[in-house]
Amino acid sequence: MTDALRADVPDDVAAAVAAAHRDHWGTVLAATVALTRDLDLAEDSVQEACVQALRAWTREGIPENRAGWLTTAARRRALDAIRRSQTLQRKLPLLVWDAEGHRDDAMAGTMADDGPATVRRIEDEAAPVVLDERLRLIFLAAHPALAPTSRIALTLRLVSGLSTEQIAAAFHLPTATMAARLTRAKKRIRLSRIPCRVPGAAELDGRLVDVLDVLDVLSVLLAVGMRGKAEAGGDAGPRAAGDGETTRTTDAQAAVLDSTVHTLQVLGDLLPHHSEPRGLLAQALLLQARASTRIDERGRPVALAEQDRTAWDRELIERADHLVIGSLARGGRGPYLVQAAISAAVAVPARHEDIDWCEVVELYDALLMHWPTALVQLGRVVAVSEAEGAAVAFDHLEPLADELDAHRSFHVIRGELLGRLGAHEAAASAVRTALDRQGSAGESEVLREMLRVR
Amino acid sequence: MARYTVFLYHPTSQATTDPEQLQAEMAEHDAHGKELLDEGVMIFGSPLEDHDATTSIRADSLVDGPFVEVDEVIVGFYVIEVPDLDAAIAVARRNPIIHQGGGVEVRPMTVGEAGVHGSVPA
Repeated sequence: MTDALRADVPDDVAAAVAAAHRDHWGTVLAATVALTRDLDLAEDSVQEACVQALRAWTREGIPENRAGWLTTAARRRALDAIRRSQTLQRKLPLLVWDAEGHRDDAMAGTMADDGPATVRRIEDEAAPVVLDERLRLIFLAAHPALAPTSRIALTLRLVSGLSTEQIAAAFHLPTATMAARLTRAKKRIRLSRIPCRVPGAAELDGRLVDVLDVLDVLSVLLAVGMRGKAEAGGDAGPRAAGDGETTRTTDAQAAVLDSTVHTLQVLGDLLPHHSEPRGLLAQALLLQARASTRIDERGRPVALAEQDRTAWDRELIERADHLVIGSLARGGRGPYLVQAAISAAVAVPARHEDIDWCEVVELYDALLMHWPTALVQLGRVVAVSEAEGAAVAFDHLEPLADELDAHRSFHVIRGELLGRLGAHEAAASAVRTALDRQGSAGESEVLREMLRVR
Repeated sequence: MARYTVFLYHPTSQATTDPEQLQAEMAEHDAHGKELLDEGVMIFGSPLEDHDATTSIRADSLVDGPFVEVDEVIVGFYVIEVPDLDAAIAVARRNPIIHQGGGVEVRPMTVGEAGVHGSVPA
């Protein structure tokens, strides 16, 4: 939607359309794809429906059921396009939508030979109920046959309706690169006939992990996004090359984060018997709640004990805590939920001294059952250092040396433990090693400061 | 419905030489192939002769050997007809070559009007 289009649109209408675009994109797109079985056509139709809404809602008032209005408009536009394309002899394979073994699938290979199916689709337009088919899009976008980077881009595009420009900016990539990636991914879906449907019970748990992994990567962007914001506010860091560029990036990242939280909410609502989406949602909310204090105004990371807890968003923390407790009570024990339980145990207490580190260590033990990785072990070491002291923690740390040597965080923690044990020379050497490893400029500054103080 | 060709790959360095073991492995493939035929999923399939038996033809030459020398070679293939990629993956995942040290590749076949590109109508 360009500014020219917005020019004679009242603010409340523009805001209503923007909100409907954000909240209902996935629902409207899914209902339109059900009709077109062609992602590009459906996306264009929904986009056009949003533009149409600016004018129509200005003229006729903002409708009660905005998702319904947009769906009707988008499907009508799509139908017009399908009718036109009958004469254009389009020969793209249709998106696989129905359950396995549908008889008409055999002849649905092309648009051109698709007479009976078209009739069925036109009848479909009259269907008054808009089913919430967003789950189909969520599972399609995160399909394991797609490359991981494609899954992330498609999720933001199909499920959240972010523009190619926004997605590209959020990942510091040229728009053309992101456009090519999206085009390739959609082509792959068509040619390989990756089905657009919710997996059956036998596959659901495994495929849900794929979906959550995508959303996990996106919610981790939270921390990075806020770091970008901090750097943009402070003096010239290496990334704050052009102000316009940085603003574009942080705005896009904020949109990514909002939409990720929104998708997790949808996923939690639509799959009420699964606790993992709620676990990851809680984790994302906790990251969001604490984002403002993780990094100071100069882009330097702030240690947990020194973060200003009063600046944390208590409302978000309580919501997350509620989700965690509720899901644990219903028997959830999955890794994303346990991870959120760890974050909640750290964030909920009003004072840093009130954190129950023994509980945190226990939760890490539970997490290690799912994710037995050295990085999770490293998190546990930090909890152990608080619960049982630096000496015990150091014994747990050393076996991780081989695997984590390339990680800056390993050497930072090693230096800190050595310092607490009074081995100042060894501690300084660990900090110097940490400086050799890759990390943000803000981190490096903190490490150099530690060496100077000594 | 859609057609997929499933290619069976195996590392050249790990070719089975023990005749008894080879027989046992091939028996597994025979049984698997029969299973897929009985299920009505497989249209056609075959093991391939040794990689060395390949002849490559280009416009100006005829060469004894494959187009590309690689560590993993195609040792067999079969064509299946299933509704979509999920179904194709579910079938291909059951192939015995996967626990025999190899793997499979699933490639969708071009779907055109019947008979196009030399394909045989189902």
